[in-house]
Amino acid sequence: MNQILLLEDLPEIRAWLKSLVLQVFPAADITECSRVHDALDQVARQKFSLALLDLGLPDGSGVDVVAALRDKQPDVQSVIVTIHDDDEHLFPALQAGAFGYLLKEQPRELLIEHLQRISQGEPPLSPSIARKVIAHFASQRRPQASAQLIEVSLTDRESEVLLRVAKGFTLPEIGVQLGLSRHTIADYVKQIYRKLNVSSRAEAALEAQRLGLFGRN
Amino acid sequence: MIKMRFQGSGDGGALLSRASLPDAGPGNAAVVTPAQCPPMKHNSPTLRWLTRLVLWMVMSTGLLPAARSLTLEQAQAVVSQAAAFPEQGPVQEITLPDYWGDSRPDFQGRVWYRLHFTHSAGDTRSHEPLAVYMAQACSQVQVRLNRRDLPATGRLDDPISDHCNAPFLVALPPDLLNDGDNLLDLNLAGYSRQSLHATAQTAGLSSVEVGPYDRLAHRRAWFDFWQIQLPQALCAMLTIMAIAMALLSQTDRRERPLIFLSGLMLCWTLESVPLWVSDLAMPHALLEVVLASIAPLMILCAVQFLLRMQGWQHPGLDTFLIVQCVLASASFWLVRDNRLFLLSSLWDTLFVVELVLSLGLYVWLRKEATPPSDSTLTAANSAQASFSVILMGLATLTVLIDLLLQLTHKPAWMSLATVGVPLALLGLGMQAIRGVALSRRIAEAEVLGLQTEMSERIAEVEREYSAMAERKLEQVTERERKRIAADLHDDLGAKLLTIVHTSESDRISSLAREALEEMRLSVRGLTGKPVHLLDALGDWRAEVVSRLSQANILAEWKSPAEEVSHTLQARAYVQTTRILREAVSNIIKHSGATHCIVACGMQGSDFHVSIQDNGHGIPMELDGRLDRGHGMASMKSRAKQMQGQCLVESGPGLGTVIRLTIPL
Repeated sequence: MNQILLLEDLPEIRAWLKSLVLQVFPAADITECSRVHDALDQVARQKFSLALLDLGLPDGSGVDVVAALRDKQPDVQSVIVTIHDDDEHLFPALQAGAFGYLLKEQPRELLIEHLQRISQGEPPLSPSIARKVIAHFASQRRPQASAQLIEVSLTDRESEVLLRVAKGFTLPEIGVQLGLSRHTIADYVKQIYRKLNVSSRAEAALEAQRLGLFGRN
Repeated sequence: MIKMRFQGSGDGGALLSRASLPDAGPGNAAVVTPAQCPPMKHNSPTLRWLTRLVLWMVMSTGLLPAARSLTLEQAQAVVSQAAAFPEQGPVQEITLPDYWGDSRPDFQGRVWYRLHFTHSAGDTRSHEPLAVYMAQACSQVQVRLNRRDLPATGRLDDPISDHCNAPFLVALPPDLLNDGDNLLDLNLAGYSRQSLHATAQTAGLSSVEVGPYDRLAHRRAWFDFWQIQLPQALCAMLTIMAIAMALLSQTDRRERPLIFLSGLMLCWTLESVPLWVSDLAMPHALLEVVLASIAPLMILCAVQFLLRMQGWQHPGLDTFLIVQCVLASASFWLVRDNRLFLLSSLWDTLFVVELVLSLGLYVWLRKEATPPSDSTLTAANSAQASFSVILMGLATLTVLIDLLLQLTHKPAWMSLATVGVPLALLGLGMQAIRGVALSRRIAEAEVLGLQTEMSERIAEVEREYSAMAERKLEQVTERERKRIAADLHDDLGAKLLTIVHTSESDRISSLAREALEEMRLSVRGLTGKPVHLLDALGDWRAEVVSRLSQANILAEWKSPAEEVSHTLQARAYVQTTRILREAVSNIIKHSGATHCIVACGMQGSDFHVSIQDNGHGIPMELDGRLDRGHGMASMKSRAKQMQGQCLVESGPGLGTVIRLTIPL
């Protein structure tokens, strides 16, 4: 973890985030941006390994940067750092390919722990997010007009994990219930997020094609 | 026009009984009424009764030959213009009936017949007045008894009076009668067959009867009734019906064809005029041509009526029919007096063929017509149509039967066509009237249906409009709420966050943090939609268990046993979340517990949560009440806001139980 992108418009928060990141990754090289177009420039110019992105910025949303990172640098772990904890804001970001999310107002220790977890490949998953993911994949299974849609579906294990998260079980509890290690469960969650991204992009592409927007790039 | 009249001769019945007619009464008066033709569905019982009545009346009026009247069939015939029977000269012995169409087809003029009969003065009933009766004496006859003229009316010269339709009855004055042999001289004047347009006026003399005046007068009255008076009455009715049809046809575009029915009725009436008017002030040739020319007009009306009633018309047909009328009349005028009969017969055959063809076309059109959607209309229409066909068919049939019988000289008791055709036309007229009444009813029903449909549509439109207005309102409020939420997040949230992360004091940071949480929750309550209880339980479970685990407290969560499908209002969800958070915070911060059990479930329509810990309980106040600190008050007031309640039980060393009840 040496190249890190930081996107936040409030300067105090940005400074605080930077100190936080340095505590977790002391040797990192941090690029700070306060506007979306800046961040997009940076994405085009540099390779990153981790991105911490705010959602609400004056000239746009961090979701665009998430999408850009997915396109150009798929290996980057993009983490949303936001005030909003509701799924209405987080879900689109996850659909666009975010790896995980952090809630800004949590105490420092908690944030550090979560950040470490994320970087180790254990993204968080809340019951409401889980519910939204279930709904998303359920709507995907409906027969589409065109057969071009890439059918991305969850495996049975993944569905089970999702269901239990939606019921409110914590990941350790799920591990105990299914007889799996914490690491395995975390892997499942990562897969779920990845499939969510793929499925959402396919859906968006299909919609764009239907609306005749293809080829305008 | 081939128009038939029939005479009833004394033995007419015997001749007719050879034909297989149903319901032939006892004796030999076989009565052919329209009832025995293909049954008219609606009134057959009535007609059958009528027939029987008629038969009885026939019996009682002595239509049967009485034993007392003499039938004279042998005569001496001489063609002569003299005023009396030529005593000298060749005579011809003939047998009556003598039809000139057979014996002298091209002869026009007068023929004398001499008949002999014996009358005994000593006859017991000799004081009864006698009369001479001729069933048919066409066209006009003068009677001389024993070389003395008997009073008579009518012209024997051209134009000869037309006396062809009714029997001829002349009283024999008793003082002219001889005891013994009597001479009866009859001077018959008639036209040649060729100059006539119909066989009806073919000259001829039927057998002569001499008998009691009363009896013969009765018989004559009967024939008068059936041959003249009844057709007269029917024609009067036809005229009125024709006027009615003409008026009806002007009411609506669809009823226009009725004008043709009116024309048909008027034509038939015109044609029947000679029935009751013996002397028309017109030269015979002209009269015959005029009468002959009515036929093509009738065919025009009949064909147009039939086809237009089915909505089929063609300008070519119109032209053809009119041209036919003109051509026929012209041809009749050209050949008048010569071969008129032949030409008329030819044209009439053509007309009958045309009529039958149009009847067939009518039936075919009827079949091809798509039935309307309304079933009652279909039933009424088809009943009406089949009735029309039956009537027209009946009329044609009567005409044809008459023709057949006339051609074979088979006399019938009465002419079918003179009664059958007007009745049929009257039936068609009444049907037309009924049809108009029916269409009016249908039109009214349609209007009613349209009105109902309209009001339904309007109600639907209003419903949709109000639904749309509601949706619009929802959308607008939703937008407003989102805007408020965004504003709160952006402004207030950002500032609080800054405080959280930049304040030196931990206490300020945590206060700001809590404020941020509260703000988020409030926004959620403002903008949130109702939440499924199951989902809410999932959220709460995750938060509570993870917080307790992080504080190293063993957390047990007991989910409700049964399926819950209730929904929670957003505000209730938010308040319950706050209560749960408060409770868990208390347990983590103050209770010193190591074990916490949360149980939730449904009690009727109430949602119930109990949070139990094994801490050291809440300290008691000095007055025995529980310490009101630790957020108890806020928990209770929040529960009350949701119309629920929050109970706290605690004791030193016994732990604490918080019971929350929320009605859904």
